Amino acid sequence: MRKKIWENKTLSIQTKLIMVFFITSLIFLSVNVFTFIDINNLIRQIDQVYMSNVVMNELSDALKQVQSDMTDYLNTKNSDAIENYYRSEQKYRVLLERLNIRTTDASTGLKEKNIRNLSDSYLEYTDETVQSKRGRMIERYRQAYDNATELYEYINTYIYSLNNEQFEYNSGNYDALLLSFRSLEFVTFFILLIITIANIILAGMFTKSITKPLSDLAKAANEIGSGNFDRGLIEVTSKDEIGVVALAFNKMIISIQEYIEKVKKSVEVESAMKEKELIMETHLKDAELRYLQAQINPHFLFNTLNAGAQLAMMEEADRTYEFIQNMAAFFRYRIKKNQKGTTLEDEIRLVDNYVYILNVRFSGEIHYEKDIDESLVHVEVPSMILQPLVENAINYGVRDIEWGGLITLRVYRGEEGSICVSVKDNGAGMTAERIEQVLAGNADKNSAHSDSNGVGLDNVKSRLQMFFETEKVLAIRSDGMNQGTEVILYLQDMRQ
Amino acid sequence: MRQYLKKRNFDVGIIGCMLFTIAATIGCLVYFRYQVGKIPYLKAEEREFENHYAFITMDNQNQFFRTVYEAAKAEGEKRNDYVELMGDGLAVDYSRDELMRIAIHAKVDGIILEADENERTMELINQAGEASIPVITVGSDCTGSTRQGFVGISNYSLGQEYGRQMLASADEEVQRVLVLMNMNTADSSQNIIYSGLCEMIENSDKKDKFVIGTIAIDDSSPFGAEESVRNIFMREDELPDIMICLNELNTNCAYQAVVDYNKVGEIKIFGYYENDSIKDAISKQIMTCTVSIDTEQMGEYCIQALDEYKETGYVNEFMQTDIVLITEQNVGEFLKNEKKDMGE
Repeated sequence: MRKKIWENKTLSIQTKLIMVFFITSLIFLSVNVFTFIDINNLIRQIDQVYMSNVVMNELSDALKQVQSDMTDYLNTKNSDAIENYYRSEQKYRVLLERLNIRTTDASTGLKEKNIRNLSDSYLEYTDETVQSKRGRMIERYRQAYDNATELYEYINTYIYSLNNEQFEYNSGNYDALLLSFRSLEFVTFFILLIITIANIILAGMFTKSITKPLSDLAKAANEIGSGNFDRGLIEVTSKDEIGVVALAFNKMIISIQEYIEKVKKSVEVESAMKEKELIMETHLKDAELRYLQAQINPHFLFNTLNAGAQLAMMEEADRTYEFIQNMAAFFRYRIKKNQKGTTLEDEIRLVDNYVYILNVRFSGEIHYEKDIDESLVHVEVPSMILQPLVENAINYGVRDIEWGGLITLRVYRGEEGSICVSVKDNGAGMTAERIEQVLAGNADKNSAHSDSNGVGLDNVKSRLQMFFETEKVLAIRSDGMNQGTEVILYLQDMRQ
Repeated sequence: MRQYLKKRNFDVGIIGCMLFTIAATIGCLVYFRYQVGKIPYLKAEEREFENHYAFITMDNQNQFFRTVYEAAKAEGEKRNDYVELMGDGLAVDYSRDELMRIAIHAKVDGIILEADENERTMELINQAGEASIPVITVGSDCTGSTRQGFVGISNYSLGQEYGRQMLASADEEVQRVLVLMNMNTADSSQNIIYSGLCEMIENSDKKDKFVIGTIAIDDSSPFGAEESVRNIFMREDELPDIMICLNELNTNCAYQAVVDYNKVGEIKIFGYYENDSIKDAISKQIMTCTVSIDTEQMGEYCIQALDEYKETGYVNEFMQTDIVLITEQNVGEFLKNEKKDMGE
């Protein structure tokens, strides 16, 4: 029954707590009732202990009364005295009825029997005394009175001795009952101790069953609070207030988990889009680069030059052959390096080829000098970065000057640790405004010479910026018109 | 499954806890009731008997009669009779005659009485007879009364036994024999013992070797007997060679006086009845011999006589109990038996 009630999950916490207190209190109450019953029994027994002494005292008093009333009658012979005698005799007889008449081995029982029989004899003598007195038989009543008095003494002695014996016996019982009281104290204490421990255990078990879901809930709330949204749902074992809260909590956990899932998905989509955008931008840049590099496509020329070189060799025209070889080397480099990076050394070699070709073209008007730090020439660079600069220096710097043109190429370690490549001419020079325009990319592209190979300063700058992923890749210096121009590239050793 | 197990553990725990509580409570209460049950008041067991016999002696402290009483009581229990030692446990020390009156008026079913030849005793026995209470005398008789029977020894035979012991200890010189007789004893038993003794000596060829005399011991006052016995030792020139005691008290006094006056070996003591000190004295050769009466047999005969009378209306007038002479030769056996009894 109890189990079923407890299993009824719809009970409220208040009802459950009341049940816990009720059960434990009921146990306490039952034990106390049992104990009180025992105590009452014991007290009743103690009350009875000296009852036999009380009876003996009553008997003794009644006997004295009989003797006294008989003597009174003998002295006075009035009707009151004889009435008193008969009354006390009757009372004594009634009291005698309570005494044992059987022969037993109990000392007290045997004395009671003797008292009863002696008293019967005594009362016969007292009756005889009274009757003889009434009949004025003096001698007879005296004799009967003596006999009665003798027996009276014997009975008194017996009553007194029995009383003593019973008192001694009763005292022993009284002591034993007191001892029982002590043992009752001990037993009661022991029972209460056991009940207390059992009640604490029961209350602990009951309250734990009530508060366990609450502590589980608190623990789960703490975990959620510290950011662990992946924990499982909490067990709902009851339908009380805590059960309701736990269910709501579980719903909340599910909602939070669903919301987090949604947010995660949207973030993933967003980052994928960003990634796609970046890839597209990269592709765009790459396309743009490819487009710029595609502007120079010298395959046909290179093949033609090879044919020319072979022709010159057959005709034994050595200078022509060398010229065509340089041309061929120049375009081979263009074909080979057009799509990827190269080294500074190759770039310098390309410049050498280019200047040779131009000097053939312009009858050796262009003076070309190099100051190269050979330790720096193995640095990786985008292809076709030096030749456009030298081409610009020739086209815009030294072509139209009156004095002999000089192109100086220098490679050195810069102040900030970067590798500096300087292409300097002693030509027309540039104004500061023009330098700003060029660096800003606003130079008039239409003004480019028709024989330019198509790779301008912007192209070089853009490619260097993309390659080295830095803004500072190029500088232009000029002291003014006719003061020459120096273009400096700031390269970085990517291997470091 | 886990939840089911947890639930089952919870239920088992709760039920176990409650069962334990109930068991402990019941156990403790049962223990308490057991403790209370041990109180004698609550379980006083009495046995009911068919007959109530009164055992009356002149002195309830007398060892001899106490052992007779114990034997009678034991026999009575076998036969569904309860034997009460009258006067025992009373606040007043009543005389034998008073106890006799009490017994008659208490309407007992029979009386075992240490009687004498006194007229008052005879009257009381007759009074009991009038009240239809059978009386058996024990140890000493009241021959003129209406008592139903007597249980005791043959005093004549006892006297002859003393005589035989005297003859056995006779030597060349004439020995003076002093028989200690109680002054206030009303029965004739001492006289019969004395005559039996004298007759045995007279009829022997050594009658010239003994001079037999008697002395009256005053036992009327407290310590009178002891004083009378010591007085004998005060008269150095009249000291006897053999002293014959006819009761337990005189025997004890004589034995103590022999030791105190350093007469061990000079005076031979023939005692009466046996107790520890008397047997000890015989084993140490302070005393020559003593008479042992079969008290158990005496007590048994008393009950048998009363029962027989109640059943048939007749009983043997005299039932003789056996006597054994304890000497240095056989005292060891008696001491051994005594130890065995104590061991039991």
